[in-house]
Amino acid sequence: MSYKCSRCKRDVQLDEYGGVRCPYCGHRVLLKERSRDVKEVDAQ
Amino acid sequence: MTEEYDVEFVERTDREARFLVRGVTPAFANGIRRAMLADVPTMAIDTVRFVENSSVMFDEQLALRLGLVPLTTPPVGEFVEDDTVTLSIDVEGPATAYSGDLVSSDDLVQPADDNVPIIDLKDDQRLEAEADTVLERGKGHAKHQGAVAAGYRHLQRVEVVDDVPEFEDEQSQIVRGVIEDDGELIPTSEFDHDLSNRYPGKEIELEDVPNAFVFHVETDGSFPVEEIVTRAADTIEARATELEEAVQL
Amino acid sequence: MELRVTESTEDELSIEIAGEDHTFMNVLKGALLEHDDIGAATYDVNPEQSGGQTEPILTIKTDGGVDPLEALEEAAVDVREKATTFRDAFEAAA
Repeated sequence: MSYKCSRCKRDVQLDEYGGVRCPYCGHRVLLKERSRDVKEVDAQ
Repeated sequence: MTEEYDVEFVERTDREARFLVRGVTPAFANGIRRAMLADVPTMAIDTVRFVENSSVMFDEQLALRLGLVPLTTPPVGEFVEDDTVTLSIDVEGPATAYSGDLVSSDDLVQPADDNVPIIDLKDDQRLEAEADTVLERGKGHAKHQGAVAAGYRHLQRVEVVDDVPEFEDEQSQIVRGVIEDDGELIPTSEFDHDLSNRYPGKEIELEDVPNAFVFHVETDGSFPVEEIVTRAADTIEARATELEEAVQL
Repeated sequence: MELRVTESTEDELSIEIAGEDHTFMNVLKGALLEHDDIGAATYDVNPEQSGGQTEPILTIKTDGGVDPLEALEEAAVDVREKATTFRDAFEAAA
């Protein structure tokens, strides 16, 4: 799962031990990035 | 039973026209009008694949907007219902994504207008998507409606009955559509829709001319006006032929 | 276009014309009524939400021993001719 730190804007990988915390700056607010998959939508 | 129809154009541009049809029944006039709105298939975007959308709007919202962009519809016979053409769009902010940014895989299917705004993109926002178009009827979804305005009014015949009495004020007499004066067709917009401008000091009588209808048709650019009218007539013909064959069995 | 006869006697016919709406039915009804030997012609459609019969049902009643099915066929021919003459007239003017 990839996130982005809201303070230092770096990509963050979360593992199950680290808790919700940026390993670079220690900030606790992480933003979830949009998946890189192509998304198909009906125009209805 | 063969009727005599007579068609005469009053105003005409590529996308909008006013024409008079004499000799049609109200039922048939309405059939043509309804067929233009709901039964003439046009191209429109139906599914969108978003590669990247970092704009402020959801994919679904943008898909709906893309669906509503009028596209030129290829000539009869080039495509059948359910054939698809792919369009792609790739715009990076700061910029506004317009319908003109859509790149088509087929010259016959292009955005009818280049200046329909889709979304305003700020710095670092990007829209990249691929869209499939389908040929469908307006009955299924309004985005497939080729006629944005289609209607008709009776042709009105004007008759000068008398002069306005000497000490009476002249009253404005508003009428919209097309009037017939001694066989001459005059759109009411020429005299600001007010008969007292055209016939000052006269008393006027108006009457509907039976079975004479002035159609006003405007298309979304999918095809010229002439095309939508003839295609509408074709759909009615096709259904009549189908019924004829079904009854014979 | 699926046809299904719901009622049929010598001078009366009720027929379901599946897949059609007012666009075609009203033109067809109008064409039927132009014939002298048609006593009555009408159609009935119900909205989708009504849950019952939603396809239009055309009812024709004829005078003078005319077969209603034949009258229907003639009316279909009339509608076809109306459409083609209209298109020809339109194209001639355009």
